[in-house]
This record gives sequence, structure tokens and C-alpha cells, in this order.
Amino acid sequence: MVNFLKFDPGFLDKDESVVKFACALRGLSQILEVMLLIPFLITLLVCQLIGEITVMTFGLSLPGPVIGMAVLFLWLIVTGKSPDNFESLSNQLLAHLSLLFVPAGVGVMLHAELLEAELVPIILALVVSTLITLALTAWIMNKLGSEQAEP
Amino acid sequence: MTGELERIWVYLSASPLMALTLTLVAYQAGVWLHLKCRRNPLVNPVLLAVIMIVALLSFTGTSYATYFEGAQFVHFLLGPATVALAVPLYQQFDLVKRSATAILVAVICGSITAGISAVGISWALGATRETILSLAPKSATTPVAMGVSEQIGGLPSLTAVAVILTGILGAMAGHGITRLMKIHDERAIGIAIGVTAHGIGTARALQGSAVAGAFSGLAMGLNAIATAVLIPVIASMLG
Repeated sequence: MVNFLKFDPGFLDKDESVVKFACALRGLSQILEVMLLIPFLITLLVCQLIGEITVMTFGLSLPGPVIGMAVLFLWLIVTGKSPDNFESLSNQLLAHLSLLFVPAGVGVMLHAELLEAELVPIILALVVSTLITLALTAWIMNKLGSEQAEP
Repeated sequence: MTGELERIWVYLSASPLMALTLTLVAYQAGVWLHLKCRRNPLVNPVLLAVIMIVALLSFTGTSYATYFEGAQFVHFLLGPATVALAVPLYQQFDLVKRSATAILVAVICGSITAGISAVGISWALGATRETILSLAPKSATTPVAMGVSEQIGGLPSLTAVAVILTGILGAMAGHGITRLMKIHDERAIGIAIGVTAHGIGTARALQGSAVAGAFSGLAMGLNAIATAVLIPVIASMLG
């Protein structure tokens, strides 16, 4: 290569070829990153599909995605490590998990009149029950968890 | 001129573009307000986005069905995202293994508490039987809660509303309650939020810490099972 450049220096502008090479490398790494997104999405969809099929086959009263979560979890344990980029990709997806609840949340408007009929008992029951459940569960987990963490 | 505008409006409201843009813009505005209020948990981005969208839909007279035709693409991602919760859970597997018994006990107690407190309070306040039963499974993730509600004689659509409101309430109160109780164990915070407030709480817990997020996702999954098993038993004891 060096000989070739010496032999005919005007044939290839060295600086320009280096820049081109760097650009090509960067493009390639971006393509690879995108390509890793596809196996990740396939994994999620296949796990969810297995979950949905399991639910339908056995008539379970659990949602397919929750079974799918268990399937992926078991698969990660069996293979012993999560594949490259799964962590960063799942972090990116889960960082905006809240957004995904917005369409279902807007669905509350459909049943507004159901709430109106017994607004006070329903809202009070939800608020107080939520606070009690949070407090009691955190207290139990804190108490038992700190005992179990000790060797 | 107005005819032209109307033509564009009719075209756009039939395509998913409007609903998708509206959902993302409203959510982004909610996040922006949340940050402006120094991450005050009471300024919840999901709640703000829902309020903004409901107001706009009511103002323009757009039906939820029309909105959902576009927004379903965001809604669909809930499934794969729930599956993806296995990744943070796997990362915290050692911590999960070490506190397995504590997790099981906490989730079962939490699930029973959620059911009994909702039933007890709404009964004491004079709610109808149908409403009481609809509120019982409200801490489980939506499809489980609606299924259980139907099974025990509740109103699944009212349960769906109760589930969403509980999720938002749990996301708003989770960190505050545990801070008041001086509980700083991220595992306890995660389990409490996941049991009480399913996916909406888990989304909030993930923003707090990876440990809390992983434990919350686990608690959500376990509480789905616990609710499906325990709430029908609690309901049958009501007679």
C-alpha cells in the first residue's frame, strides 16, 4: 500500500482516503448498532408470542407479556449472560415506559360517568388503599429483607 | 378557506399521525412540567398527559375510539416493554435470590392488603356491591385485574379505571411514603411500588434506581399471579 502510494502519489489523495475510511467505519458501526436492535426486538416479540400462546393454550388468567417476561428471564438465566447491547437497548426502551401508559390512561374518559355515580367512595378507597398497601409492603420487605441480606 | 382547513382536518383525524403526535407531545409537555417543578412526584407526567389529551379530545369532540386508532401503536409497545423488564431483573438476579423469601411474603401480604383495604374502605363508605368488587383487584396489571373483576362479579370497565388511577397514585406516592417511613432499601421501595401500582409504578421506580425498577417489575409479575389466586378467595368470603 505504501509502495503503491509512493509509486503513484497523484492517484490517491491520502488525506481524503483516510477521511473516507473513517466515515465508512463510522457508518458501519451505526449499521451494526441498528442491526443489533433487530435481534433485540425479535427476542422481545418472540417471548411475548410464547407468552400469548401459553396463556391461550392453558387458559391462564395471566397476561401474555408477563409470561413473556418470565420466558426471557429464564432464557437469560439458562444462557448465563445477556447478549451484547441488550442492557443498553432495554434501558432505552424502559426509560420511557411511562409514555406507553398514556393511551390506556386516556381511556378513563370512556368511563367517567361510572366514576361520577360514586366518586367519593371510589376515590377515597383508591387513595387510602394505595397508601396502606405501599406502607405495609415496604415495611414488611424492609424488615424481612434486611434480615435475609445478613450472611 | 375554512372548507380547505376542514378537508385537512378530516384527513388528518383519520390517520394515526395526529393521535401519535398528540400522545408524544402531551407526554413530553408532562415531562417538561415535571422537571420544571423540580421532579415533584405529584406533578406526574402520565397524569398531566392524560388530562391534556382528554381535554383536547373533549374540546374537539373527538371520540376515544378515533384517538386510540392512532395511539394503539404506542399502546402496543407495552407488551414488548413488559417482556424487556426481564433484563433489569436478570441484572439484579443475585440480589433477588438472596431475598427470595422476603419478596414472596411481602408480595402476598401486599396483595391481600390491597384487596381487603379497597373492599373495606369502599364498603364502609357505602359503595354498591358491584363497585366494591370492581375495586378489589385494582393493584394488579390491567388484563389480570379486569379478568378477576369479571370472575367475581365486578364491572371490568370500572376496574380498568381503578387500575389506572391506582397506578398513577402509587407512582406519585411511592417514594414519598417510604421516605416518610425512613425506608431507604431500594428493594423494599421497588417491591412496594410494584405490588401497589403495577406497570405505571414500575415505570416510576425505574426512574428512581435500577434496583427499585427490577424489584418493582418482579413484584408486578408476582402480584398478577397473587391477585388472580387470592382476590377471588377474598371475594367469596364476602358471601
